[in-house]
Amino acid sequence: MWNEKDTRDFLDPVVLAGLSGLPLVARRPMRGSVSGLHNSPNRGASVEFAEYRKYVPGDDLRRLDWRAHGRSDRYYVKEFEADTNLRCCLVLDTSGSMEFGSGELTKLQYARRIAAAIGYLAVQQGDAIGMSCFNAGITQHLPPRRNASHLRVIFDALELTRGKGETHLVDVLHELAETTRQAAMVIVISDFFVDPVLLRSCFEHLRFRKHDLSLFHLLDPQELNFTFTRPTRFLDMEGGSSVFAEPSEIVDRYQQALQDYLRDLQKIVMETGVDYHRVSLDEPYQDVLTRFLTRRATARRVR
Amino acid sequence: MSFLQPWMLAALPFAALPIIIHLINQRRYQTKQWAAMMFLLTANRMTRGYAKVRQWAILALRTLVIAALVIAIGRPLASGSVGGSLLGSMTGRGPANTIVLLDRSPSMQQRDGDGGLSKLETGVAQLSETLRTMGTGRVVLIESNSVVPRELESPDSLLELPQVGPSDASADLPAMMLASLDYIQANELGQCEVWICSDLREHDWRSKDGRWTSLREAFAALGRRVRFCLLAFPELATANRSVRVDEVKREDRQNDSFISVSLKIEGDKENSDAASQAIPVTIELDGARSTVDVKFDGVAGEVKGHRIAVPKDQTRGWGRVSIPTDTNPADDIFYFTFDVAPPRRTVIVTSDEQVARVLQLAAEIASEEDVQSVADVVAPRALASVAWEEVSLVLWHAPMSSAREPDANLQDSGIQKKAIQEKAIDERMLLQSFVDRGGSVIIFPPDVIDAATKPAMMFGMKWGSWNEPQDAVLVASWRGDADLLANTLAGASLPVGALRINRFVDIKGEATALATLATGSPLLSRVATPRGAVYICATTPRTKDSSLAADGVVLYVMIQRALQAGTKSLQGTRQLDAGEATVETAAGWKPLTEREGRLSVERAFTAGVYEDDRRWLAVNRSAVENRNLVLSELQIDQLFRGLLLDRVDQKSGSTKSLVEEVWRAFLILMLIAMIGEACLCLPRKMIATMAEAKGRMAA
Repeated sequence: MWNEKDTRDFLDPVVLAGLSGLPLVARRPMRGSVSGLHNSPNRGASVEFAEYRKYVPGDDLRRLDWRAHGRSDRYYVKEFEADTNLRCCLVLDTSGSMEFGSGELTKLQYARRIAAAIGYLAVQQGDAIGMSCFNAGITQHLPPRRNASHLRVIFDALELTRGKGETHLVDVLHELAETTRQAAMVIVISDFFVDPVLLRSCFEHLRFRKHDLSLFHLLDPQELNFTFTRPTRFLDMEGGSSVFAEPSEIVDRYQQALQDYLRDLQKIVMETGVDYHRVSLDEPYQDVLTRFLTRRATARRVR
Repeated sequence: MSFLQPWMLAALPFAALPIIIHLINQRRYQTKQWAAMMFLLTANRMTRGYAKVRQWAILALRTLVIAALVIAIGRPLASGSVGGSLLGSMTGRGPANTIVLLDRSPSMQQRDGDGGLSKLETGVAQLSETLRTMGTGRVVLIESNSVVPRELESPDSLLELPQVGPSDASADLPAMMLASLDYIQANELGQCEVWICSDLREHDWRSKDGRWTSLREAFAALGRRVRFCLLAFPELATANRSVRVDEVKREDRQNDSFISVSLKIEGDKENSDAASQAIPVTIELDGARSTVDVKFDGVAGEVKGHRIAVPKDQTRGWGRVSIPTDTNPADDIFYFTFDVAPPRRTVIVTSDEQVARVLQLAAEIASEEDVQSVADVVAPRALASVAWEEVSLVLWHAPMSSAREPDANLQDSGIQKKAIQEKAIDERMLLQSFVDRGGSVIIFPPDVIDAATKPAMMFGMKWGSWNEPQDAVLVASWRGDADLLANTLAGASLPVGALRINRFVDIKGEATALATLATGSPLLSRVATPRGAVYICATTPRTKDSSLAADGVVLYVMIQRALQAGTKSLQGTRQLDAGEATVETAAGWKPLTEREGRLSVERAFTAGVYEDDRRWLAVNRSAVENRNLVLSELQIDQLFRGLLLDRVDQKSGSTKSLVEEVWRAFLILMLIAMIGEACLCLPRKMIATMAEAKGRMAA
């Protein structure tokens, strides 16, 4: 039966159908609770051979490789890779700046679409999906679960998110790195208006905790190009002080500051091994997600 | 700065347009909710100082562009000293009235070393051009000769007017200023510029003259209506010499007659070159020329008693002395006349026999061979019988009528008083006219002075009472440099100190003391008179009064010198300073010789020899013209204290105009400002790109 409440503007069945053929793959071994698509740091019972190991008393005799014993007169145990599911944690920035958008979509609306699509894909392939919304702190936390009803909860939460308040991204990421169980997939969707130097420690903290960290850096075309002509009083959407500026006077220095920031951020994500995606809001989110998934699927995995 | 189209300055407020547009733009801002504030804040912090300076520089340059354009269209004139008040500039073309005070004195004829234009010609040309360029409603000329305002049709008339030519008379700047003040007040002029063209010589400006104070106050009362522009030529000539004849005498020796000429050549003491040289002096006498070389040491050269033979029967004549032309031709020629010395006639007015004998003796012994001296003693009542036109000296030793005892024959007191008054007036008029003619008077105190009646004397002087000190009083000091008690030609001083004064009278009134007693009272004083000479002696030659008769040298020299000075007025020839005679007097003069190209109506101010009622007059520049004293800037500032004064210093022969249109400079300024503004407005990216391209090309 058709439920009007279920019509969510951030869910497009066509896009989801197009993305469903692409697996959401982790770049690092995941510690899942059940069998799944992702590599595990432990040996398991998959069909993929891993290695031979010398027999030690206590090993299951059924796993002895008799052929090898026949060849070498020694006892070896044959081990196989383990496949497991993953825990995907969506970290969504809901600060005031995420309400900015010069086109059809605001950053928050764009982030909803990405988050909803990833959540759907994860649940579809049996992975657990959780979500944390934050601004000055974590405003809502949904722990990862892999049942379909949890996805509905996440969608409800996404629908209710509103951008307000200032961002304390650094503190939040440190907190999540500590509170999220090791080896999870952490996907942060934000505009990252924070000093890149401060972000380095966050990324290193998450990496230390063996999380597979991915970033969706949302930027509006107007923020990138700064196409203003008239004198403008810029009001901070996160409640800070306002700035009066003659755009023609300040544009070159604005661009300089922006480029410095992006260069620094790029350098940090390269050094910390973060899967970084800079997204302009005028880009279809389907393309962004396709690029994200494809790159992961084709990347060499790390054990 | 002034403008030929000053009304264009009304558009100057348009220069504020860029600022107004900027302010309007600032007020027309939009408000925008913005997320990426960190970049804006960073951008604001980056090179904030430069950005602000750049913004203000662009605004300033835009303002400058418009201002320069407006000023260029207004046709500015380049001179800080020219232009008049702002109000005048805003309301019309230059000042409505211009008064030109033109100093035509001989020193203004100085030329530069190349023999170009004189200071006077340069000043007149520059004034004419300046006034024509600036435009003015009315031009009034007050030149130093006539000191009469003369309205001109246009500034160009200055070049054509004969009254702006050279003159030999010194200028009287205070009188010219006074004439301009009277003209301004009489015509109730509004905005007025007074241009003074002068070489700032002290003797022309008379900075210590009391009239300056009242002039300053009167002009200050006119406020900003009157503005002075001083076109000054203070430069002194570097190689100028002037010649001057001190004395010309006709002398007879046996069968020969000749004239004796004493002349002096002076150079500028400060600017002369010290090299000694012989200067050929040409003496022209009745058309015959002779030359004598005078040794000149760079400062002065002198010839005493140079003799030139003249026919025996020639008793009177004229001539001129000239030196080679130098930077100032006005002082290179000096005219002179000579005549036989007339008999020296002295009138001694006294009723005292002793005094009469002493004075008569001193007056009758002639100091020179060819001179005949006569002294007549007359009683005070017989003055009317004296032939005054032949008298050179009056020695007065009698009370004036007002102080004399009443006549006992006249019973009626009213008639008696009236008669005494008439007699006193007659005496005064006789003596006054005698002095005005050039005669000399020495007044000795009468025997009896009634202090109660306060006896009056002539020429503003009064007798005090007789002083009879116990011991004889000596003369403490006397003036040995000039006048009656001057040293002899050999340089020896007169034995004035040997005089003993037993009785003397206090002299009351304004007079210059020539000799002062040890008590501080004057012994001999001279009263200032325009012509002639009046001396007051505080004692008499009587034995009981002084040793003037016993030590007769001093008395004799005094009387002979006064007699010689008084005789000059009787000679058939006379020396005059240019400007000394009035125009009306000079109208009847017939020129025997004079400078060429001068106006016949200005003979009173032109050097030359003239005949006036059978007397020959030699007119020359005054002796003060040889003094090269120039007023300093401080003195000028003090003279014009509290008045609006602009000063332009020029040199003779300068072709540089006082005013010049400089709109081209403003257009260039505008172009530079526009280029500067364009450079500042270029986006930095473009500048960086251009720099890279340039670097690549260089590589």
